[in-house]
Amino acid sequence: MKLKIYSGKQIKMNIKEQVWIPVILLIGFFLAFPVAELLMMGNWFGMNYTYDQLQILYENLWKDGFLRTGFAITVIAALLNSVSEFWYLYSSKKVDFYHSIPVKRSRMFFSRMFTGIIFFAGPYLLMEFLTVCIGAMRGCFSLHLMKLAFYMFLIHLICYLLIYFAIVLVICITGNFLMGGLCFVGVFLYGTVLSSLITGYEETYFRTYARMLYGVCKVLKRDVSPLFLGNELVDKYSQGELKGFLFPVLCVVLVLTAASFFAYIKRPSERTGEALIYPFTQVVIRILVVIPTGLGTGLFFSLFPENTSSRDAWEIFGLLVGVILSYSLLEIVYQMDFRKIYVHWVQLILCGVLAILMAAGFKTDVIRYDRYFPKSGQVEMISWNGVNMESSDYAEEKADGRYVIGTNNVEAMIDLGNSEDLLQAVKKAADRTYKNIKNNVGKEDLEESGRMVTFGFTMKSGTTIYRNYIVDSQILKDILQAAYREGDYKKDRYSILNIDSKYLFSITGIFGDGVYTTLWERDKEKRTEFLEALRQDILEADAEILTGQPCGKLYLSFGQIPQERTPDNMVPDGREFLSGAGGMVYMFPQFSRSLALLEEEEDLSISLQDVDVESADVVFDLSEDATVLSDPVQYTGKEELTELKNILIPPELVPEWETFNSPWADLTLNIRGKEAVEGWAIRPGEKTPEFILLDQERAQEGILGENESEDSTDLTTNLEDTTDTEVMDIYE
Amino acid sequence: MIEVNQCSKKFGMLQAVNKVSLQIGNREVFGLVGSNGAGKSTLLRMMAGIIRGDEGNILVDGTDVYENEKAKSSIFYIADDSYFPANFTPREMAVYYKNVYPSFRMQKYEKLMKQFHLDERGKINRFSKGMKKQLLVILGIAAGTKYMLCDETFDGLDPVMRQAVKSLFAAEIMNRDFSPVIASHNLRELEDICDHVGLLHQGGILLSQDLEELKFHIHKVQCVLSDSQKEKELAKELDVLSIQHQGSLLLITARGTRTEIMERIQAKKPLFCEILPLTLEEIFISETEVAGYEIKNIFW
Repeated sequence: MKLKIYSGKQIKMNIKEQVWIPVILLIGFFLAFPVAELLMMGNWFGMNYTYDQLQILYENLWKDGFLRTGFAITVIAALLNSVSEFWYLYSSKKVDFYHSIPVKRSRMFFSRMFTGIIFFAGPYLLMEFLTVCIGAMRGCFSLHLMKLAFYMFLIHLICYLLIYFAIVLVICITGNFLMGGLCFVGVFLYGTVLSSLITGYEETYFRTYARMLYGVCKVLKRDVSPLFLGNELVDKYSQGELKGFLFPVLCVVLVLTAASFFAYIKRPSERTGEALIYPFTQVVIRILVVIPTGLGTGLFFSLFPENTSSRDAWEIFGLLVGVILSYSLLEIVYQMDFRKIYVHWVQLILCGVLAILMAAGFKTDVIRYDRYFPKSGQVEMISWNGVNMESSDYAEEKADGRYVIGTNNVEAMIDLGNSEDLLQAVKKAADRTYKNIKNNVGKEDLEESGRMVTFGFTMKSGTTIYRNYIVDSQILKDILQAAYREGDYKKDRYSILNIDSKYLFSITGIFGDGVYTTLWERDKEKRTEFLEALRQDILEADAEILTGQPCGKLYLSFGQIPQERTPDNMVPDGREFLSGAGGMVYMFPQFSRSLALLEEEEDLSISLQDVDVESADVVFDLSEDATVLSDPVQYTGKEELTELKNILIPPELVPEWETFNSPWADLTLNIRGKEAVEGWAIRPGEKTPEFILLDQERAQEGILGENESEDSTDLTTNLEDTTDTEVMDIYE
Repeated sequence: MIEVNQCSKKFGMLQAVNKVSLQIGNREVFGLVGSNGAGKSTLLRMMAGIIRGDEGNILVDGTDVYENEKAKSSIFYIADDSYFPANFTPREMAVYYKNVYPSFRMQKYEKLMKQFHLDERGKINRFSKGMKKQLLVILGIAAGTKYMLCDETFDGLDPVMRQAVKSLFAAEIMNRDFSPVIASHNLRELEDICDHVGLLHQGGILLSQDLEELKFHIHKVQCVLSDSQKEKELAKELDVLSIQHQGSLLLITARGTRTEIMERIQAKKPLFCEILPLTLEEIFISETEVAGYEIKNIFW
């Protein structure tokens, strides 16, 4: 009868034995909850937040703030409880004492586990209750908050069990403090280190590697360590993305519970003091440590040599040094005897061979990493980070008239769609990149041969794979056309236009004359009318129009936009959090409504044909690195200027999906009534005029004078000093 | 009854216990003697259910002891180097054991604590080694278990306390079903108290017999024979454990009853013959000498 009530009484005894733990945790949770609450609320009251704002902030404290502070104390609780309750396993004296008493190990395990839970939950709930009371006293109380407090406890309890059982498992499979400490560090950091190692190899040997955390590396970095997994659970709950993540975490907790339970009840007491209790774990740990260490040192040594052949030799040397050193250190810890270091020499050789094979596998791309391209049926969504090519902020209007503004971000991945056309367009980029790799184009050369764009393939299985491909202008055009045809990309790309016109602050445009002009600076109505016209034009434009040759480029600037209310952007006194947004939009000749409004403006020249060009000054490159420039050649002849007007375009109007030609170092147009505009290019598809080519040849033959490139800023001065007659003389 | 059947235990390359079989009867004091590293402590730990044998089994009243709460509740194990939870007092230890041993008698504990003049409220970690041993014996007796496994328990006890503990064991055996198993090197101590002796050597059991029976079957004789030929014949006829010469005096330790040995010696017409009393220590030395464990093998 007494045996049956052992657990309850044992728990009482345990509490008496380790009463210092709940005391420490009580202090910890007191700081994490009530003290943090008093600090925050004190700040809020001092800053004159309104009642509604206070409710939002207080709710957020339960959803996020307490979650973080509570997690820190939970980690400490798990560490203290697990170590204090199970570290007796490292002392044969204590093992003899506890395992000689008539209590089954299974019962002992659970009584210790429950003691730990009481030590954790007791102070936790007490301090949480106190926190709720303080909140209620200050006017923040609702059943919803009680629900949040309960959920927070559950989340922290899961984190506690996760870390607790991971440590218990480490103690149960190790026999002394040294090995226990090493395994403890290993369990918490191994995944992160291995993930970094794999990333290092991928970055070194795979040309299409994209710096995105996904797949195995993501799992290793975020989910292998119980600490990071717990932290991610807290993050997911805080972000409201717990669904789909909770179940795997609970499974991990169950697996750890079962593993630590069996490791405890099957633990041979006589092995206390040895490095590892279960001999098979020696082999597992040896493989898990020795091979990655070898690969890591191999990679480290390969970083220094300049030429490829010696790099390979150094890599192998580093790899073998890493394997032998790590193996020897492990054996010393295992055996505690230098003479027995090479007892398992077969395993040493095996580890060395496996490490070399793995390094060779990365080097020769055995897994066909660079060649990989997903099959069309597998892809759920293709995304890219090419949004910065047409930089615009993202804007979404909420039901209450406020906006969510997403700042344009180079690393942000934007969904393109999943159509077959799109996939084939991206495949062209993949094939081109692989062709270059096969032709042994170096990594740096590869990046220079076109724009390096990161593509993400979200598979139907839910995983996402990232690759970097070289994209030229034609492929880019194909990708954009395919994306526009699908619909959503167009909506996202031009989401900035969804912002109400009353927040439109300014419109600046550049057109065929190459001059930046601020439009309707003082005429808000006109700006509003223009924005509406632009919206309509874009709505009606198809993929071909939106990827054509623009005739203008607009920069729209919005200001004083009320942002969606979140705890992070709360402004005291109930005021709105206002922000700005900006975006760039190309104008195409098919945008009839907006172009009509622009043409009404007298000062505005949409096309170069609309202006009177007085002369054109051209400076040629006389060296490949543009350090030596020719003297400027000025063209004033009507025919030459007409020909130039037909082919010239400001480079700002050449989009990413087009390429422009610029056979000169600089071309400056002097337009009547306007400032001279430099930097003109030849319109895509047009050829360089014959007279330009002739002068270029003459310049290179030295018939024309030359200038150092540093003098290029003085070109205008030089031109002013040279009379038309002199220029004609030179030409003739 | 505790039955040890063909039990073996190996620690790495070391064979700590090698196919040991013995029985510990009810209401007897079992002395477990053996050389250093003979496997006494390992065998006791196996009997206490702390470690599991590689082969064989240990039955306590017919049930396997390992991970068996019922079997273990009839055993109280006192380790050579005992552990007490930090900051515990004897009273707290008693409460602890009361929770785990169903037959724990608090009154008995209190009575014995008074008899042994131990401070019930003092911290155990401030007790001397001898006081800790006394406390463990008291707790073991109060636990009311049928078997008490004592590993070098008499080490550190002063002669008075040793005697007191022996008396305590005797009284318990008189009053209830109680069987202490005492592992020790101190054979003289064991000789006073043990009913049965198990002799371990290099992991194996050399003998396991009642002490009286053991003494009945091994004798030491001193005699003077007329010539050396007769000595050789006698050595062949008797189950000799050792022969020593002190001048013309011959000291023979041999197996056999007093009558058997005397008949054989008398047949050689000795000039002088006398049976000498044999101590447990002498039996131990003789038996282990036969097994190759003698001082000359250790030093030379």
